Amino acid sequence: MSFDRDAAIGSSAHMIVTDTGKSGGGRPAGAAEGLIVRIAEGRDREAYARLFTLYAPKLKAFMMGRGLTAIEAEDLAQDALLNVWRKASYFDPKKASATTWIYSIARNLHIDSLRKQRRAHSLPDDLWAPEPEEAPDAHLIGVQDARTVGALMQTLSPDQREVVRLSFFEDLSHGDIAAALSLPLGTVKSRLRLAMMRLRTAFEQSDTSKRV
Amino acid sequence: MSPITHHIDELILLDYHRGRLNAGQSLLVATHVEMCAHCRASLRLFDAIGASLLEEVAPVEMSADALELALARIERPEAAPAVTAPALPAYLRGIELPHSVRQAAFKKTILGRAGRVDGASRCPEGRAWPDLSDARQGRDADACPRPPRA
Repeated sequence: MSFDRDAAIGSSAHMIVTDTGKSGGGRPAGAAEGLIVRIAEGRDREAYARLFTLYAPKLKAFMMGRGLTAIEAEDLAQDALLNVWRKASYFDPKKASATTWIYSIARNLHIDSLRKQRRAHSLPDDLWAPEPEEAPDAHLIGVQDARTVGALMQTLSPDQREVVRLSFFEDLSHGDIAAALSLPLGTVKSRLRLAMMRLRTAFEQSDTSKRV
Repeated sequence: MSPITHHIDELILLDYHRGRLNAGQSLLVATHVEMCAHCRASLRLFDAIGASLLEEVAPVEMSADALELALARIERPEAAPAVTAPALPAYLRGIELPHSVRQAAFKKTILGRAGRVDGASRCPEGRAWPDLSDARQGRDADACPRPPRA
């Protein structure tokens, strides 16, 4: 019976999340999600202040990693959290974790700004319309979240994890990463592909098991 | 529509995720991704990986008045988003287009070797540019020759 099977796997997937909640340290799982819900439902300014304190410094750090200056990164963190305030009603804690949702908002803002900088010289300036007003989590169909993937990341070899980290966090091309690690480019690429494949396989399993 | 049998290279998807593709490449990827569950799943994975790294990153202190500024900004009325649906050129009307392509604004721009000619200009003969929807239907495809390259 499929019901039993789903229930059984579902509970093991849940275990992954709880495990990392313990080992990951930092904040209790669900706290940030609750803050966003309070913002959505009650325009709760105190919740916003707490969320801002929690995420702005991390977003700033992350975006500095992606090559922004401290000032640019701080502006982006401000804008991202302003978007969180405005779009809080779109947030669905059943679909994405707070961090994944906030990350995707910041990522979109970063890409918009990159686009604006580049359009002047490389392409006709009218190729792109403004980003449509859609729910920022429109593409986050599924309940996987940062905590699950955080746990999966721990299953990678240190070499693989380093390549993934450099690819996402630092503003480096694959060639730059190869140079930084003194590895041939082909090795960096195959290591990255392998890491992605492993994450993806594990990710899809947890995704399927949690789908009702 | 035929089933998708070819997927975008994962490393290119990753560049898309990080905004490292140019607008044309980006549009190409966005169009594919919109119709491809496999590649969408990869992008969701990238979001989750990015988020897990965001959770781990050592914070960098914001400036002293950052929170005050943030709290002031949320009190300001939100400017009405001036998102206007880009006008589709006549030759694309009536065709079911992917969302990503509909969002790309079209302007009557003709890219030529020596720069671009504004679509509002006239043919050398003084006639208006042909409506390409006619050409699609096999009529009058050569009503107006392309501007000479020089």
